[in-house]
Amino acid sequence: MSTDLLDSFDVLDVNTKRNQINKELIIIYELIRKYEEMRNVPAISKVKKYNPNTDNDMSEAEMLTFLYEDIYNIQQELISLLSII
Amino acid sequence: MVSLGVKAFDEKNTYQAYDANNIYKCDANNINAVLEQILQQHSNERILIELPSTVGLTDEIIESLTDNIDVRIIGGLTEEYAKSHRGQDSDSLDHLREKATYSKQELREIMAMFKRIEANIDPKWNDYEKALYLYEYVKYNIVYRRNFDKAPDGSFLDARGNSNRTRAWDSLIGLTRQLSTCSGFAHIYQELCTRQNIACVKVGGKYYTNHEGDHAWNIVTIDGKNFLVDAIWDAQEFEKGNDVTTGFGLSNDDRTYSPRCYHEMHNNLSVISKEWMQTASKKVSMNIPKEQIAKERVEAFIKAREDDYQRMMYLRQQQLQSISPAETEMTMEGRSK
Repeated sequence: MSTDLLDSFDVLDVNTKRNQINKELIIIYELIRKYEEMRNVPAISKVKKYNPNTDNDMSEAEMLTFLYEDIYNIQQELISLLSII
Repeated sequence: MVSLGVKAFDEKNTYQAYDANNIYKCDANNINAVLEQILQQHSNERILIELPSTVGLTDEIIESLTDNIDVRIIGGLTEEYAKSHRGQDSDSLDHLREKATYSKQELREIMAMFKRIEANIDPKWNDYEKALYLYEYVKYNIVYRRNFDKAPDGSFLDARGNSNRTRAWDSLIGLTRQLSTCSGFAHIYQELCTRQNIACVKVGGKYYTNHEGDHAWNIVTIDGKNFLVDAIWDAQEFEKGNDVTTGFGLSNDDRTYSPRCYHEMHNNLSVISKEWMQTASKKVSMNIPKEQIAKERVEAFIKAREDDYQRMMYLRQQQLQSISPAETEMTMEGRSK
């Protein structure tokens, strides 16, 4: 990651940062799903979508739980996928 | 204000990049004459023009600068500021002056930002309202960070001596990068006030909370009264989603944060009433284009992300060409190969 990208992310507001992190996780998940579909492997979990209009009142603790669930699910998806290919 | 230290700027350090004959100290009254003299010499040597502030620095002057001319804006980095420090390396102060030295392009961007900010100042406002507007602008538009440059191994350097900090985070460039330290916040705010003919100084010292650290803030003088101004705490609150104004002249009881350094460094400070603040803050903040700025930041991020993606893909292609050109099936965000 370039310094320019990190700096431009750094100055975004908190809600936009949360939304962007969620978008990155969804991209990771979709990449995994794409690979699974190519090999006819069903998914075992899902990643939630952060709504910047309605979820912006979440506290930091709530947001961490929100993200933790998604990150853990992605990890599980990867582990299970790697175990069968 | 009580000065507790004996620090001073070391001229040898702050001007080390320039030959003594190529340093020109001037002000708004004589900068045109000085610049004319420099340009007539047709010198290729590195030249420094030092100004007390950006007042009088016009677009015409900036455009006539040649590539070998740097412009240093002293701003709040006065000898009084140096004296207000205690226990810091003198090197750190000298570096601050070196960082406050700008190229032609940097000056263009800084002056464009000043114009943008100043265009929204209502001429009917009094100095309290103007100073508060500038405070709110800084609070909303600059993100406070205490970070430092990264070492070659990727770890953050503990740059107490400031030598490893980026220029952006301690100088007026923080205004265009929208990212700054406490020192940068105080530096920028001092310059913004000076341009409005509002007396403002930058002060530095130690603060003590759960740990000890260096800090910088401002003292604004209006109608002969001194007010303590420190925007970084409210800027951090705003980043968390709390829009409060507590760092502009409020009493110790009304400030969100009141580090011990304030009490050690100042006495006989005047305070602004919380009631006036609540009304005035809403009034002046209406002139700050927050939504537009937020939109521009998102656009800048999207562009930086795209640039970074292109850079990463280029590097990956370079690797694959030397390993296995066929293994490029996975793409980011569903992009075609």
